[in-house]
Amino acid sequence: MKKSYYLFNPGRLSRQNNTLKFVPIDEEGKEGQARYLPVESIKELYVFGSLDANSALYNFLGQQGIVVHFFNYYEYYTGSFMPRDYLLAGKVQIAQTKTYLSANKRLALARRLIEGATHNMLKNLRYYVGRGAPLQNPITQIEALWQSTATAPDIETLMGIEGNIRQTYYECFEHIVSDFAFEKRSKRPPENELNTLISFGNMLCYTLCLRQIFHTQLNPTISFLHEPGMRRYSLALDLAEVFKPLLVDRTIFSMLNKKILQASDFRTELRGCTLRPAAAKKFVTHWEERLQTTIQHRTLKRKVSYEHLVRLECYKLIKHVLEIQDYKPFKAWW
Amino acid sequence: MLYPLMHLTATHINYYYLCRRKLWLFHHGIHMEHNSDLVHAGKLVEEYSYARRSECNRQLALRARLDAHTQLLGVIDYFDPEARLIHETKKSNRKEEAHIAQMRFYQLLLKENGIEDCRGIIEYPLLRSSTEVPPLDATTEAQLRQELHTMAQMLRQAHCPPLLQTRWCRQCAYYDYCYIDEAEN
Repeated sequence: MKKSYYLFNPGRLSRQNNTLKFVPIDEEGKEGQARYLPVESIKELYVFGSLDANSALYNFLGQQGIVVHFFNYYEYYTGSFMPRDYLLAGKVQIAQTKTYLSANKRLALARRLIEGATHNMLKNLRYYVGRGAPLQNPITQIEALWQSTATAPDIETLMGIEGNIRQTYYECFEHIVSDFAFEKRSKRPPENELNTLISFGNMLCYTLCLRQIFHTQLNPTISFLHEPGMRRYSLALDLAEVFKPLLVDRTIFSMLNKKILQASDFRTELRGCTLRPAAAKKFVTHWEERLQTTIQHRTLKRKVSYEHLVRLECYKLIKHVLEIQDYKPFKAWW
Repeated sequence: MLYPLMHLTATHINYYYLCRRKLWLFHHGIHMEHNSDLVHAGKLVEEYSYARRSECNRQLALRARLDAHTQLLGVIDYFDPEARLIHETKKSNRKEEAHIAQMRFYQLLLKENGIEDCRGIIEYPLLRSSTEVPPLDATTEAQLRQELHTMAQMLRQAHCPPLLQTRWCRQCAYYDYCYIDEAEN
């Protein structure tokens, strides 16, 4: 089974014959023991530490179809090295563009994406209502906001409502986890612990969606809910909306409530709040575990991993734009 | 109406016998084979059986015109020109009909390129067995040409053929693509 590699330590990554060699380099510039990463087992690379690499390496990674994501010192996502598209289908690309260009089709599809996202957010909130959290009011508010999307005349209005839904939802977080306050959603930099975790998790979710799109015939730059060009790969943002509640938020709740992450795992400075490296490692470990969790799929009648659910969503989008089957968003049922 | 030139390959005729929907998707660039372990296993069988044979490269790439709008393309893994014998390696003989059709496609390509009366042999190294395909006669050739015309016509349709729902579906590389749906809550 292929897996994602997270490189936290600074060092040099190079091609060694037909595999990869990583040499850690410490602060004084001394080289450590080399480690070999079997290229066949790499799904993608996440680079958090400073990395030395040459074009021979990137040519090799490109050939192997390995995506590399880069993060800066503050663990913010800076960008990705994407190998050349290897799955091209003109028919899908044209159909995807046509769906985007038709105002009605785009609006309907965007609304369905919000439907999935809203359902999955409510699923999380209702679970914690069952455990005694006082969330009845925000749930009613979110339901009302969702109802109002039915009459939204354009994408901007829809995005506005979506923003309100998500804000109401995020404000519930402090009732779900103990010890941490939410205040308001702050980004670049996030100002407190919850915001830091949300930003970090959302980045991981975005890169996950991007990789899944890369392995299908969809064009990652043509999106429906988000405006193409908002980010380089805006279709990944669309898909991430649906999956963030299941993948990111549940990881955060579980890690904070089980006290796997505590106040000492964060560093608050003038530049905002960041995760300490050890905490980031803990987070990605739990994240990877979550992605490999499986559920019995109700229509496929077999077990699929959470990660694979994202790929299945891509298939649904392809079928939708080709008018083979209308898109119904993924709705968590457990 | 003027059509752009359509390319048909041996995979097309193989899929034509398996599933029209799969064929249509494949033809339009919606490939799923890279996700399938079974497809990968099939490739390995092809690659690693008869290792000594690959010492001399006998691969043969051919093309021919079916009609003004349709071009046939094929790569024969191993062709023995002295014996006029086409070799094709497959993992399992469960879909033998499709394999035979694929072999006839190669025979037609060879014939169009001036090499007539070629026999074919489909080898199943895992089953320790093989099937012989006699040279193309007038009937089988006419039938194959008819199938290719039908196929070209079908592929020009804008819409994807419906789901077949057979018991083979679960093994297919396109299973997830075809069957993914959301159950109502």
